[in-house]
Amino acid sequence: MISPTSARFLAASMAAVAVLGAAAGAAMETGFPMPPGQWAFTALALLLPALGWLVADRRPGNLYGWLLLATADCLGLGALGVGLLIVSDSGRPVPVTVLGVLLASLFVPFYGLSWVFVPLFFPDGRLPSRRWRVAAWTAGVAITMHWLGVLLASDEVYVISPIGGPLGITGPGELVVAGLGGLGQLATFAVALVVLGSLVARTRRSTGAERRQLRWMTAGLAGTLGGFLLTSVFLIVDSAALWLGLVTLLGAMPAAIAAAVFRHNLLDIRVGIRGSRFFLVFDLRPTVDELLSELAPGLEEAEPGEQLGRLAGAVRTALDARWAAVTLADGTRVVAGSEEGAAELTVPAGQGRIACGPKGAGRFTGDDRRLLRALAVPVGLAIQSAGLAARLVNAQEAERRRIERNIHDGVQQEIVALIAGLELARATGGDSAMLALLRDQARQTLDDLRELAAGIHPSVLSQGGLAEALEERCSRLPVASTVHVDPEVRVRRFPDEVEGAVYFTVSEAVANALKHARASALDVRLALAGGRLQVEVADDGAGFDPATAVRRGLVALADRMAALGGGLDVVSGEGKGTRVRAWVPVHD
Amino acid sequence: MVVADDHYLVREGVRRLLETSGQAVVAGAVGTGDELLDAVRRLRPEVVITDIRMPGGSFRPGFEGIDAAHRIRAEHPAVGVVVLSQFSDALYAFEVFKHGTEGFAYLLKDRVGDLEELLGAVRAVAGGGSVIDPKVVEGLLARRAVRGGRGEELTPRERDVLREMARGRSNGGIARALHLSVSAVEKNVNSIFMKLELENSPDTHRRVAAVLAYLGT
Repeated sequence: MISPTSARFLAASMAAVAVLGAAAGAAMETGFPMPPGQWAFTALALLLPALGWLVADRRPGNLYGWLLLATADCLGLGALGVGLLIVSDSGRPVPVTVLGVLLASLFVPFYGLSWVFVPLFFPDGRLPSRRWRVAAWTAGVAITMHWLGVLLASDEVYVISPIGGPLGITGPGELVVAGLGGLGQLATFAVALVVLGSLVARTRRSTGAERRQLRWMTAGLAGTLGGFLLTSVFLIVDSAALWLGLVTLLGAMPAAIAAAVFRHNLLDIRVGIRGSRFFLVFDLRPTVDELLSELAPGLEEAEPGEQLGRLAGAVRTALDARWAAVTLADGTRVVAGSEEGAAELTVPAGQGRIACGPKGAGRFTGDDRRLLRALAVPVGLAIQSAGLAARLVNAQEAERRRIERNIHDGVQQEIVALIAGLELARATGGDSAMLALLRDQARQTLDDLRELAAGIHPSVLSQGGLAEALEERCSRLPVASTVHVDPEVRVRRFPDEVEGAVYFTVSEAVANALKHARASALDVRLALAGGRLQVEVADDGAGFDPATAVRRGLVALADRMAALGGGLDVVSGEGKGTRVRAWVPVHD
Repeated sequence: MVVADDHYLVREGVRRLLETSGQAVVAGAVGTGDELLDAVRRLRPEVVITDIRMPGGSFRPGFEGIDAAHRIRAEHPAVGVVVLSQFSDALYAFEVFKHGTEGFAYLLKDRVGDLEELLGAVRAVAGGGSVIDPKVVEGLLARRAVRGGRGEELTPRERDVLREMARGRSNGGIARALHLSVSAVEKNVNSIFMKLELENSPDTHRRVAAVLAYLGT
């Protein structure tokens, strides 16, 4: 693989050789001023190198651009050779004549390439199938035979050089050479007809965009072969017919390829105007860097859902897909564009994936895949934060529902019962025993209310800080428990969200230890080290297998920690007790 | 009567309150919607008093009491139902009255502190009438105001009368409750029905339905 810079240089050089060769050859053939016919030839001969250069420059990985350039070089150098032969027509074989003959003979590979290889490798620089390798090899051999035949023929070359072939073989070999050349030419033409036939068949079989593209190439090949028959085989000398033949011979193929490339966006090269200075560009596809720098500022502030929407939109634009969808791990899908047709390209992105529908035109290329893989990184991050945000919101909602239920079905009902009791006492003139009972009910209600409020946010946490709240929480447990707090942490206060997250993590871990693990002893440690506030809750209970069991409460708390830039891990095993560790970064 | 509430203290409080009044006989007290339906089939009470949310059983979670009540009314049209709600949200009231108001009362649980009010509702539904808690009516009126409802503003007096109408009271009852003359009440009632563009009717349960229908739109 050559470097991109040298590939571009090579492409430009090859195009320049083709253009200069054709122009110089045409000028030498007729001298200045050139008749209109020579101008027309030169103009037509420019098409192919321009096209080849464009494709090779924008898509150096695609063989097709290089094939077009090689074909164009054969044409340009061939024309130069013809020019040289005419200029050096002194009747004697001089070195320049030999050079002229060598160059002029390149018309043979030009025809061979443009009849067989250019249509055969259309559009992506690959054969339609492996079976076509036979045809490609046959054509290669036939073209070489024809070329050798032309080079080694002793008679006049293209009727131009009156001295005959300077490299010509005379004697018995002459016949062999002539046969070789003729056979090669015939075989080349035959393979070209086979290629044309297959193009027709493929066009008829295909549908939609592919059909339109193939139709152009079929017409182009038919045109060029027809043009050749007109000019060479029937040896028509009528100038109008010759003109028609020449135009179709040279122009049909480049026109067909240009139409396929630009009109149907075949090689994914778009033509457009960029910037305020009407700077014509042949590839409007944004690079990964451009895309990301365009997206980044807006993404920071966007809501997770909106982020995903924008990223899906960016993927769709970048790949020119009819639709693009970002799917989250929980199955949520964000689609940009209208979802028609099955996904053609899918890549994983973090815990989710990106899917792309059919391209607006053409097929997905290697560049598309690379671009998509690059976009999968920010999409993956967005998916992760969207999932986290959704789980946090869900956890909050669940918590609010739990509190609402506790109020409606707990404390509120107790007060209703109290009211009923009071009404009963009023209606019956209640005695002191009844009133004492009602007082106890009221006290119980107050206790429950206090407990409920502590569950929402314990006042000792806001008043006394984390250490005191944890000690208070553990002092009310029915099992032996110890709380170790670093002296430094004891006197320090942390942001509300940090203290809340740590407190409720311990609260949940302790509740699990009592409820699920039936622990008999608990140990809580709170420490500050390396800018991290870390808490650890260890119990001597039954333990569980973290691989199979899921503690929903802990998942919610892990999310809460993650949202603060921290984390949570659980070490446990059947019969080994459980150790929950959570940490949050704190800043001085 | 049959009393249904998942909270033991409430259930027993209501039962004892009603029994002590000497005006009702509580044949059963249950804790879920399924048990309530079963008790009604067995005991054939005249009136049922039920909570809205009673977890467990085969009814919609959160609406067990209401769903059981509708089943009871469908199976035994003569049984009146008083729904006691711990929610002042209009949603539950509309859920209760979704098939009509006849034989239904919707009271907030605070009413257990007012024996007469509770017994009044029990009597009303036993006779096929309907009752809506005045607080709920107040909430519905406020919601309508927020939504920018059509029609002229009701005067404070008319609002009082509307609340009493929703309680299922006759003009005479309203007059006694508000210390007004019956003719003054009639004037207010007519004015309300005109302003709300509703059909007037001497039948109290129809009047409740009309008011509810108006407030619900």
